[in-house]
Amino acid sequence: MSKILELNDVSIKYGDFVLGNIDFSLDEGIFLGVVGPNGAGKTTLIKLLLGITPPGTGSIKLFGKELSSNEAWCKNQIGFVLGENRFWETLAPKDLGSALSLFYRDWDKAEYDSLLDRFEISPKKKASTLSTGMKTRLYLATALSHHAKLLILDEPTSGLDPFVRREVVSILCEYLTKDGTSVIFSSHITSDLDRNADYLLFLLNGKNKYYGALDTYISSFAQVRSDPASLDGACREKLIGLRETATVAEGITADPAFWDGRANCVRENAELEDILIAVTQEDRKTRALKKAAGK
Amino acid sequence: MSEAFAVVRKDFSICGKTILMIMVVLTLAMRSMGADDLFLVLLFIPVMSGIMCFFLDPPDSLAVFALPVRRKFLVAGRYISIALVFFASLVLYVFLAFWFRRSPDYRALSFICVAIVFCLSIMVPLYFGLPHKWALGITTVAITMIACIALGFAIVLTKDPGQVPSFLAGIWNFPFFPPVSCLLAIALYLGSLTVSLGIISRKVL
Repeated sequence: MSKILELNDVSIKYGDFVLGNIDFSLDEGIFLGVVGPNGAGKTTLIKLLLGITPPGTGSIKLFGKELSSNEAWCKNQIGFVLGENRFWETLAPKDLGSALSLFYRDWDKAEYDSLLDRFEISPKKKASTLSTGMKTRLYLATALSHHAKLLILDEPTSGLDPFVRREVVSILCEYLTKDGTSVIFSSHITSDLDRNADYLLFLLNGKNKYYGALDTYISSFAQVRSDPASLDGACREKLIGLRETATVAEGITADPAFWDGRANCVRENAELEDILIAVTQEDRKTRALKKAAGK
Repeated sequence: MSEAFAVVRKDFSICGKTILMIMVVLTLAMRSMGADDLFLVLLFIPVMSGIMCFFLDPPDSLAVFALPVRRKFLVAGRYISIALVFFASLVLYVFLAFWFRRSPDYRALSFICVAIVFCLSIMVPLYFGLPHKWALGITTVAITMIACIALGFAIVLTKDPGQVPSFLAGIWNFPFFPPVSCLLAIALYLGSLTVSLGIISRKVL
């Protein structure tokens, strides 16, 4: 299996925000989900991968070639959909395709027309007049029409209804069945990733909190529900994102084995969304304590 | 270089027809309302410049930078597009001048000077990265207006100093170009320049 993408110690600084020491590689055939709260650095990472912003330090290699010195070649291998940063919306899909064909060496007009047809997009209706879902489909069609080896999508499903979201993800899965392709999908909506992503990159405050197999990450946590009175100090220390009412306490644990055989406790598989929220809350709490201690 | 020409072709496929149509319609409308050459030099050309910048692909759309074009060719392509639009403006201007049986006289020269100044003034922000489309459009209008007045004044002063008072009075009393508008243009210019520099300094692009 060959490497499609390699990031070596990539960092970039914007004012006070630092996206730092990002180091990972992506093999072909992988669906990578990029998650993190607002401001974690997801969009910055996508901009780096697309060559929109050059990294401050470190290197980005695509298909074994340095992105900075092989910009045009590397970008020809990438298809992209950016949630809010769409371009040339004043054009009709037909003209958008013609304009893009000037840039992409392997632009496949027949494929583009067939995708427009499949997505039921009128070739003559201006992109700006299309609904959010139709726009996403349109830009997905542009990303899929030049035989890209890597698809990079920045929150493409935000603002879409569950039906369209499911359709978008299934198109991506279909794309992944082609040889030598990979998908990088940044999203707030973890349910889009739960079912389909192979790998997870979890960014928190500009740092790589986790990179690896999604299943491994999810199975390293568990959801614990218990009677609050049964939770002693040691138990509470093992829980993150603890929520309590008079009758129930529940939280996420990073040590599922600890809870085996404990009375009045129910251990269940944790959902990705609950894990991410709990880890983020814990991180915020730790940083607030550090800040307070620093003062 | 083929990348730069792809940018030019894209620019014109996106807005070439629109710009040309606006240019012709505006010019004819202004002429039919009795506007003279001074009007065209002072208002029409700057407004055209702004419209052109606005219609050329919105620079705030970062997605453009993800296309397989090296950044230097993206910028080079834009220079060529601007130069071509100016060339088209010049041809149209001279054509209309002859059509209305007027000599282009020194104002045509002023127009060429303005075009050069405009190209130079726009190169600086383009070199560092394309600023926000509004900032770029407004800056262009403002710079060109100021440059038009300055160059027009310099040319009149050189060719016929006796006409300077009437030239100044013409600007002062011009219905579409009162002093307040001049001040507004300068304020807009400074404001948009600040925004542009702010965007550039944040290294958004």
